[in-house]
Amino acid sequence: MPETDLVDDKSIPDENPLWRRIHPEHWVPAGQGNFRLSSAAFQDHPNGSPMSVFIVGAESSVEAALRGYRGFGLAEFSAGLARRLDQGIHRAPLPDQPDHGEVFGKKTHSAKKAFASNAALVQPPMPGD
Amino acid sequence: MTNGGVVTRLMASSIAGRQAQTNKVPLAFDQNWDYDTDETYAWGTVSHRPPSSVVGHTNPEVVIVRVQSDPTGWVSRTIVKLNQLSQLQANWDSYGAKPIDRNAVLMALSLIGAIHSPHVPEPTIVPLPSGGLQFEWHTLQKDLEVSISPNGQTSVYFEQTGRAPTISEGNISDLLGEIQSLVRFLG
Repeated sequence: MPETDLVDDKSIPDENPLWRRIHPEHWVPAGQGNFRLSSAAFQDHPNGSPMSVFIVGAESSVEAALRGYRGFGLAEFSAGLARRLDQGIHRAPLPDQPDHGEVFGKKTHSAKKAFASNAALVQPPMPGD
Repeated sequence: MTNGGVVTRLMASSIAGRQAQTNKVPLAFDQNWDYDTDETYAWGTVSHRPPSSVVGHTNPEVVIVRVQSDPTGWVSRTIVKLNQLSQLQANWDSYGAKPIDRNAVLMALSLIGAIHSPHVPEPTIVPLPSGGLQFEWHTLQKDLEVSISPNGQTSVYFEQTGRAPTISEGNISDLLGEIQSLVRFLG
């Protein structure tokens, strides 16, 4: 579906958490022994599809989100944050992932940076794992 | 070829001619490092050998990144990192990411040669789902990110505490001067 046809699903409240898997290479040094999320972790699919997320609900679990993805982390941000960055959210359930959704809208460098700066880690990536 | 400037010209001339082809050629990345004994000079030779059916083994593409010195070793570490990233397989991020494009690797090598100095902090290089690469520097007060797409389109994001961020977009060649200024400002 063209991104211009997508409609922000207002049934997803601003406070609803969204999760996104984080590759270990996107967990970067930030000085003085600290690490931070890279803005590179918050991009649309290379095929043009919007950025995939888990729209966290009662059926969601960290274990299921990371199953089969050794070393990956899991970042959380709110639907409200995405909307403040001029993004929309819609549900796009997959056969094996009923809580799959997409965050659509132009991912400017500023928007990606804001996602990275404001997201919290549910599960830190484990580089080298 | 005795200095970084010569290397940069080599890269600039070769990238333009290869761009259309290399975007479709799988990356074959061989690496061969050496240092001279007195460590006055350090250099890396990265050989890109396209499949024989495309170009032929007798015509390897060789990029030389030669710097005056590498006292902290960050040039070495960064090129090793590029080698690692170039081996990422399709879907490496679990969301359909492309393998790192060899053209992006070539441009990254060129950028390393252009920005390296003993006063420039070591960058972190991260892969982009598009097949591009991103250089990042993060300090307590400054953030600099240089995002390079496989086609050379580049985004430069700079943020300093207490000031509005600045973003520049364009071809990497056009933004090189700005990138050089910003990385020196980080030190």
